[in-house]
Amino acid sequence: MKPLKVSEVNSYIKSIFQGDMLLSNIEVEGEISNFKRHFSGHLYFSLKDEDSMLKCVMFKYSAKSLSMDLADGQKIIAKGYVSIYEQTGAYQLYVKEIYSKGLGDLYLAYEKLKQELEKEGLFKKEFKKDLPTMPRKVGIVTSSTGAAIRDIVSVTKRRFPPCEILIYPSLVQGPNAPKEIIQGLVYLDKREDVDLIITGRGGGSIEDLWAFNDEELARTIFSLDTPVISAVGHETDFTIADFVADLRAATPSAAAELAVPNIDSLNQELDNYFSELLSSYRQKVDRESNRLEIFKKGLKYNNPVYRLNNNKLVLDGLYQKLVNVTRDRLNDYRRKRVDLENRLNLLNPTLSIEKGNGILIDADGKLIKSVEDISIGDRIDIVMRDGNIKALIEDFSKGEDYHGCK
Amino acid sequence: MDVSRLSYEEAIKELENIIKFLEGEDYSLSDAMDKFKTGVELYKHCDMLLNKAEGQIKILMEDQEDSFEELDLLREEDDDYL
Repeated sequence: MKPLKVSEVNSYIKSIFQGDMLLSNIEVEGEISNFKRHFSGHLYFSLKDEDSMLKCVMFKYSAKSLSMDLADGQKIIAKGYVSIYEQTGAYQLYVKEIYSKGLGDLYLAYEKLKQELEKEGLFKKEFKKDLPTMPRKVGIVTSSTGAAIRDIVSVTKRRFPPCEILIYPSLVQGPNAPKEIIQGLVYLDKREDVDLIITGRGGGSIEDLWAFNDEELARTIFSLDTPVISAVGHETDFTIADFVADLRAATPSAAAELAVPNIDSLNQELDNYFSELLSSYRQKVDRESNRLEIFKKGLKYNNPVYRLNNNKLVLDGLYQKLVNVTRDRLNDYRRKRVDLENRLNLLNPTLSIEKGNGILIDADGKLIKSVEDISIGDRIDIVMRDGNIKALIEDFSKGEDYHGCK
Repeated sequence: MDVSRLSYEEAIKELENIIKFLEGEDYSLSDAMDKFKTGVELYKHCDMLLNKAEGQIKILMEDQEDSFEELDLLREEDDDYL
């Protein structure tokens, strides 16, 4: 027999597979491993059980209709056909649909419970309690060993160191988890010192989070007086606890961010308050001292000493005026006197003495002003500038023309 | 008013009231001084609540009599915990 080419063999096997009733339409149950989402949108993974493994591919057009996120470790039922990829000769399961094994019923129950509780009003905004702006003690119900508690504690402490934390350790998955979580919630709610509760867990598969879809847990959360933040670590899937909690956080870290304020902004706020206090007080003091200044001016103006000084000033002014007027008057008199003196000087007889004239004085010492004042035989004095002349009147004549006398 | 017994929120509210009061007009200087003093006390109290107190971290442990004991988390789990 003529040897076949490799491609002929693979092509033959492919046709055999396609003709097989079972392989062309098959459901396979197994756990996902080596899950890869190619950038093209195709999904590559393997299905395995305890003993064996089967390569799978799910093309983009089929993957689009997936109602769940796939991840390693998930148990699923894949529906499709087995064929061979001729280039490599590898056979694989071409997946067209995926069901979550066992979750099908759970999902139904989840949807039913969600609708029921929603109808009852458990998710209504009006029932959501306000979170304390600054919780003094935060209660946490979660596993004491997971990453969730670590994240909540460290973020809380980083953001707001004075906050106290009380942890109620509980299971967060498995059949007993809801009961323990409920006990923790009820216990912390009864404590007077806890003013906020966080419950949740880190991320995981849908099955891992299932405890938080428990009906009694939901009703317990609703009935608590203390506000509850749910922190089930899954970005996309909401649990029933998320819907009924007063606030839903996507992750435990996010829950801590929502639970406590940032101490830095609080400190800044407090500093601002202090500055305001200081400036409002300073303004008051300034206002008062301004008023005081005005009063002071008023007082000063009305001060008797000030008035006295003022009066003194007026008095001084008046005095000065008096002095001035008096001086002016005196000067006037003085001027007038000089004037008179000048005029007098013109008439002053001593002036004629200066010019060489003599003054005639009779025996009685009287000034002889006219010929009428003398008689012949009188002895008179002629007073000169530099001495006296004694004279005897021998003759005289009346009339103006004394030059004509002999 | 016993400032030390107020919660942070109450103290801040009181501080706000005092500032509002001081921003008004109709009061005496000695009132202002009293209020200012109280304001400073409130500030100190708030600062203490924020910055002087380190909140404890406790974990609940059930004991034999079905009641709870609070244990220091950090001591339980040692220093490499956080």
